[in-house]
Amino acid sequence: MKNISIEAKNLSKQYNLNLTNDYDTLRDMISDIPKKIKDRLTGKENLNNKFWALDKVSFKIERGDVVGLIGRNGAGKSTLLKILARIITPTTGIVKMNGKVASILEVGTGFHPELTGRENVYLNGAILGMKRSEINKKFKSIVEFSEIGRFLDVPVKRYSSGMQVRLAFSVASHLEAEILLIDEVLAVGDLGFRKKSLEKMQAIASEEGRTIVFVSHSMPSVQSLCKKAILLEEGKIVASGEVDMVIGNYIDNYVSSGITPTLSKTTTRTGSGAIRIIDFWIENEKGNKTKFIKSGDEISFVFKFICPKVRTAKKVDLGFSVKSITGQPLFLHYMSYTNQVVEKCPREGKFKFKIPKFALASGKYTLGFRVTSEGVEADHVQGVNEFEVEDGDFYKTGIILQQRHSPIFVDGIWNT
Amino acid sequence: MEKKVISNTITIRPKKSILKIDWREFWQTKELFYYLTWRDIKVRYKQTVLGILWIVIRPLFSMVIFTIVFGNFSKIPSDNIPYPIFVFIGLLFWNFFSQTLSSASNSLISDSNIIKKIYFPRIMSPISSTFSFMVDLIPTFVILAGLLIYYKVPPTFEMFLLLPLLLILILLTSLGLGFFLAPINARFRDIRHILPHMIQLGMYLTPVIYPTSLFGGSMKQIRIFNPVAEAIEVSRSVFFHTRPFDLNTFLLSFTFALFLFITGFLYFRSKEDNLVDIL
Repeated sequence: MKNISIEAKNLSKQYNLNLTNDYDTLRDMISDIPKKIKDRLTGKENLNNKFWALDKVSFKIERGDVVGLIGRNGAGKSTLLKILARIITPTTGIVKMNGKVASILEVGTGFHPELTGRENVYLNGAILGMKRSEINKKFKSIVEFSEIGRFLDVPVKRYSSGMQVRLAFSVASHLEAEILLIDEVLAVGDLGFRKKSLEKMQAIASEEGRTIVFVSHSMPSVQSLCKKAILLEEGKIVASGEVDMVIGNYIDNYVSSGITPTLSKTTTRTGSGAIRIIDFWIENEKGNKTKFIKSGDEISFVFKFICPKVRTAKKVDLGFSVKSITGQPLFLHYMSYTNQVVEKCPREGKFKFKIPKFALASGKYTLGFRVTSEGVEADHVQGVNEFEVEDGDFYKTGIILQQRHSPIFVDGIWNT
Repeated sequence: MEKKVISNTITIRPKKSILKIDWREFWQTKELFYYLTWRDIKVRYKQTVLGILWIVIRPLFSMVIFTIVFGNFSKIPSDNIPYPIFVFIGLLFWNFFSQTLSSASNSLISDSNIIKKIYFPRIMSPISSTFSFMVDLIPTFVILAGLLIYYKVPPTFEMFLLLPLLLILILLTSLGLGFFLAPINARFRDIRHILPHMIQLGMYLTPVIYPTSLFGGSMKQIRIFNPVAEAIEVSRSVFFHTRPFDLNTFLLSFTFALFLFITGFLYFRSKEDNLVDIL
C-alpha cells in the first residue's frame, strides 16, 4: 500500500450568509430581530442564506506529491486549504493527515511593524511553527536570502513594502514540514527576487518526501511546480490527476475568453461584406484550440471566413492589430506585408497566421481585424476579441520570466 | 521514520468535543506562546523615551494621586495603615485584574490577523495576552518591597506564601471572565466599549481605595464572589495584622474563581471553531 499523506472523505463546508453578513454591534442585531422573526414565520430563512463552499469532496494525496489546487474564484480552493490548515472546521467529513503540517496562507503573518527585522524573523518563525533552535540554525540563511543586509535591526515599519515581503518570504521558505499548505504567495518583490523565490519554491517542491498542496491562479506556476492537480468548481472536484491534463480541462471548460460570442454579437462591423470573418481563435503548436497562451509560445491566430455572395472575393488582404487593454496599439500585420494576398478566395475556409515565438508579456489584450477585397474594405471589426497571455519562458532559459514594465519582449542575443 | 510519521497523525472533524483537550498540542505551541508574550512586552514600550520605566512610574503616579485625593482631602479611613501603601496594595491587585481582563477580552480581535491565517489552539490568544502583565508585576513588587521597608513593616513567611496564591486567584478570575468575553467581543464589538466602564464601576465596588471595614463588617459575602476584593483584603490584613486570616472565605473565593475559569474555558472551547467567520 502506498503512503497516504492527506486523505479527505466527504468534506463539506456550509456557510450561513446571515452570519458572514455579521453584525458588528448589538444594535444592528436588535434592529434586525423583527425581520428575522418574519423570515422564520414565512419559512424563508433556510432557503437563500446557506450555501456550500465545499460539497462532499474526497481525495487522497500520496506522500511526496506536489499538488496544485486550481479553479475559478469562489470554486472553494481557499476554503479547502483553510480546512486542511485547520483554520476553519468542516461542516461534514473527515480529513486525516500524516506528518507535521505547516501552512503559509499569507506572506508575513503576524509581522509587527514596531519590531525590528531580526525580532520579526523570530516572531514570524514561531507563528509558522518553527522552534527557536530551528530559527537560530537557519537565521543566517534567512537573512542572506532576504537581501535585507544592514536593515536587520531597523523596525519593520521603516522598510519598503518590497523589503518586508522579501524578509517574510524568506522566513516562510525556510519552513520545514512534511506537509506544506501554500496559498498563492509567490509573486512577491521585484523582478530579481521573484525569480529567486520561484527557484526556491521549485527547490522546496522537489525535496524528497515532502507533500505540498499549492493554491494558485497562475497556471505557469502550477505547471512548473506541481506534478498533479485538483480542479474545483462550485465546491466539487471536477478533475484530478496529472497536472497537464487537469490544467487542459480547466482551460477548455472554465476559462472563458469570450471571443466567439463577442465576434458574432458585435454590431460595430463595417465593410462591404464580400467576405466575413465569422470566428476567431488561437491554436497552440499542436494545432489545438487554446485559451492559454504564454509568452514565447508558438501559436497561430486562426480566422474562419465565409464569402456570403455568389461571386467569390478576389485579392483578399486580411490584417489584424493587437492592442493593450488600454487601447495602446502594439502591432499590426497584413497579408500584403509578406506578399501573401489571396488572389482567389474559396467560399469558406480558414486563414492561419503562425507566430513562432509570441512576444507579448503577460496581460490582457484585444485583437481587431480588417479584410479588404480588391482594395475595398470588406469586413472590419475593431478590437473586441480579448485574450490573455500568461508569463512564460520567452528566452528558453528554463525560467519563467515575469516582467510587468513592458508589454513586448524583444528577441535577440547579447554578444559579450 | 515510519514511527514518527504515525505519531504525527492529525484528524480534522466537524465538531470537536469541548471536553477532549489535546494537551500535547498545547505543549507543542509553547514557543508560539512565548513569542506572543514577548512581542506584547516588547511592543508596549517601544518608541517611548522612558521605556520600561513606565511600568514603575504608572503605579507610583496613581498612588500619589489617590493618596492626595482620598487620603488627604476625603480622609477615607484606612484601618490605621499608612494611606500610600494601603492604596498601593489595592491598586496593584486591581490594575493587574483590569489589565488582564481587558487584554484577554480584546485578545481575539487584536490577534485576528494571525488567527485567520494560522492554526494554533485559540485559547492561547487570551492566555498569552495576560502573561505579559505578569512580567510588568515584577517592578511593581520591587516598589511594594520598598514601601514596606519605608513603613517598617517586617516581612513574614505568610507574605511570600500568599502573594503568588493571590495573583493566581486574580488571574483565574480575569481569565475566566476573559474566556467568556473574548468570543462575545469578537461577535459584538460593543463589549469593547462597555468594558472600560464596567471595570471602572468594579473598582468602586471593590475595596481598592477604601477598607472593607468601611461598611462595618469585612464584606465577607462580597469577597467570595469578588476574588479581587479577597486578594486585597487578605494582603492588607496579613501585612499589617489588622484581622486574622480567614481561610474559609479564601477557599470559597478560590473555588468561585476556579469555577469561573473552568466554565469560561469550556464556553471558549464551544465557540472557538466559528471564530474565523466572525473576526
